[in-house]
Amino acid sequence: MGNSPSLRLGDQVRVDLHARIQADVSVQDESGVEGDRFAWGNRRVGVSGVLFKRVEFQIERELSVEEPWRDVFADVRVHRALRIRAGHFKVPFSMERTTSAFDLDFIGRAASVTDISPGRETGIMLHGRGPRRFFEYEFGVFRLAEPQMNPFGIGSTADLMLTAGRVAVTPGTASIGIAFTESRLPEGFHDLSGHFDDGGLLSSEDFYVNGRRRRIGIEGRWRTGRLTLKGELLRQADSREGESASNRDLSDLIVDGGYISGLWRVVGSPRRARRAVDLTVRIENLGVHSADQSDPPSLSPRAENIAPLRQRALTFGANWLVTRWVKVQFNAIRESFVDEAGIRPEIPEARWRSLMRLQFAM
Amino acid sequence: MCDRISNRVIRVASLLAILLLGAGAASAQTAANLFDDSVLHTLQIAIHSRDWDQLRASYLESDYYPADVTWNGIRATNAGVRSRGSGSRSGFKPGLKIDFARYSARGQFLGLRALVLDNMLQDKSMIRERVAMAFLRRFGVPASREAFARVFVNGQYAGLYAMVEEVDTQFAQRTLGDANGALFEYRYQGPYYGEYLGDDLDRYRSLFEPRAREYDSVFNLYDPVRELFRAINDAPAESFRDDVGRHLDLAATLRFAAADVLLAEADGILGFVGMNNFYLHRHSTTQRHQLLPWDKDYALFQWNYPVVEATSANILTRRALEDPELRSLYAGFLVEAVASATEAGWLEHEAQRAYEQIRDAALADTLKPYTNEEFEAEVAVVIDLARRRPAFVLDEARRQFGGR
Repeated sequence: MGNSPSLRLGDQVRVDLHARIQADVSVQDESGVEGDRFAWGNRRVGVSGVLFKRVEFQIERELSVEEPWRDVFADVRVHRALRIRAGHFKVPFSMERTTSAFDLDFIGRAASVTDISPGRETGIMLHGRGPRRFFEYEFGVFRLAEPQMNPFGIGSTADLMLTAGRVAVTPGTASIGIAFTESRLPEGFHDLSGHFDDGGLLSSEDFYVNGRRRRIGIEGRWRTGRLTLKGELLRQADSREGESASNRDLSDLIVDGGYISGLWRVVGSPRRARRAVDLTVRIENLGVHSADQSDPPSLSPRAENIAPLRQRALTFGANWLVTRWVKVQFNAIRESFVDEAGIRPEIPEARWRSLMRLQFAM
Repeated sequence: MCDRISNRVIRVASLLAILLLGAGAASAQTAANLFDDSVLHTLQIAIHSRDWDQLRASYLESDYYPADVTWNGIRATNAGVRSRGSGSRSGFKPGLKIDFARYSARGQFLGLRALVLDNMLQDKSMIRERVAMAFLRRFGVPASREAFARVFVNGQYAGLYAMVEEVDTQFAQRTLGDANGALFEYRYQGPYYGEYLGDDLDRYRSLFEPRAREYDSVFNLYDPVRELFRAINDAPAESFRDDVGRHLDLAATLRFAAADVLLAEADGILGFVGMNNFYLHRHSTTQRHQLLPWDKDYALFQWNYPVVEATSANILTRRALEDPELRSLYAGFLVEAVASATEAGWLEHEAQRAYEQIRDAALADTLKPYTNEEFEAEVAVVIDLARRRPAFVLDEARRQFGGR
């Protein structure tokens, strides 16, 4: 977030002001869903800075009624290999999720990232890195503001703690990382609301969960010349303790998926360009199923074998960095659904939609 | 040593034979076996304890809960179960609908997509529904198959129920040879005797809830229903048979009406507070409608329940009986119904057989909202009716139609 208006008191205090705004236009949508073609994306203002060379901070607020506070944290540097962050910030899981919405290669994050990775929570995290960033780690404990599903109100949601960790190594121009989270999951309906809901497909399908939620993710990035390749594999397993029709345990409910994306810098410096044109492509998928698939598949909330459903998407895009503050993005996305068991009454046909985004960030 | 080995071989072979025979028997089971009314069946339902509590607590709602159902060693997993009924809804002994296709478009059990468990709350004898449906089928009226079952929920005896075949497209295929027709369940909203309700299709829509082709347009579904009732009311007397006959299978309707009269059905198509408890099917090729019976808890109501008056209040039967040919047809059906009921004392024996089959299970059913003494007394009423009703109907028919 460089290049912002800045206030400095010697070399002890630095405060930067930020303002960022995104506007999206739906160019084409074959889904037939009626809606506004124009929508605001993120609209945020905030400050960040450094105090006494050791304490970094960030306060950012969304200009919307729902969930106005975004990052609100302080980060104390004890040593390069040990920093302590406390406050409200992103859980260290998924490379793309922890990338700012203003720095993404695509207008939207991959469906698997949106649906599987947690967002911001309140907690404390130890993190640091080795020499020349060859090695970095993050480990935190968070208190979940919301249980990330639709609970019955059975069991307390007040003590929902989430532990998360991420380790990455960066040999040369490549980076490989692995991350996990674990949290208690109160009894209730699984909330598969993310991209599936866009298709209206799972909006009426509820699955009971109860016990623990475990996520694991593998990420990789490789940059060579004008080409950058990224990819992630994400998996979330929700236990279903005592949730069968006969009150026995069911096998885990699995949501998994991933993406691989490529970016080719057509115009501009391969690194830190102020003006550039990129061409992008992304292949992704997201699926839901249960660990045990020996029974006949079903959409019952208590099915041992939840009928598998998979969403696939292919995105072609172009990014134009007009100035250091202004970016224009265009994405054309083809989405399709696969109901392997063929037991859902209706499955949307594959469709194209395209979006354009105008972004200002300072 | 040889003996021990040969004994072991025989034992293993016997076990294999039993397993194979058992598997063969299980796989050979059909819906006909499920509705075999010579057997008191046992049905096991496994449902999450909280879901069962919730279903009973909110028994007036029709929310589905997942359950596994086992009959005769055959298990249907992931069925949907909900509370059902109108006046018979109960939180203690809920009437249940089991929808095997609720959570899978391909879901079925023995070829059935749904099964109704009638809690028989409104019939203290518990045998009216089963006996009445048996008579209807015997008399050639397309009617649901039924059999009694002791129902266990999570291993606990939940009472005696009647397993009733759902009236759906499969039923229409089995009985009428037409799975593609429109099918409506009549929704009682007050006394209705078949009046023409005007041009507004919503009036018919509120009375007839679609049970097939639900996604057809309102016009496609209800315009033929409106025209049916327009013809019933407005057709000139001299062309009534032809005009109404284009929209309705009159012979099947009069057969059904005669059976209901014989059964002293107080809450059916000739009910004393208007039409009730029936489905309306429209054949996909002939476009003619047919009435189908449902819910016979108030059949076998009273041995001297009116015969002549029953048909005079209903516009359809009243006008039909003004046509000499239809009048003669109906009179013949009445006589035929009496003959069918009295052939070797069929109706009385059927009532007696049903009673003997369920007596122990009914007495052990502590969730029924009446005492065992009331149960026994009501059974006696039904058996007495089964004995006396046919002769009464025959006398009344002679009074109405003359002749033999």
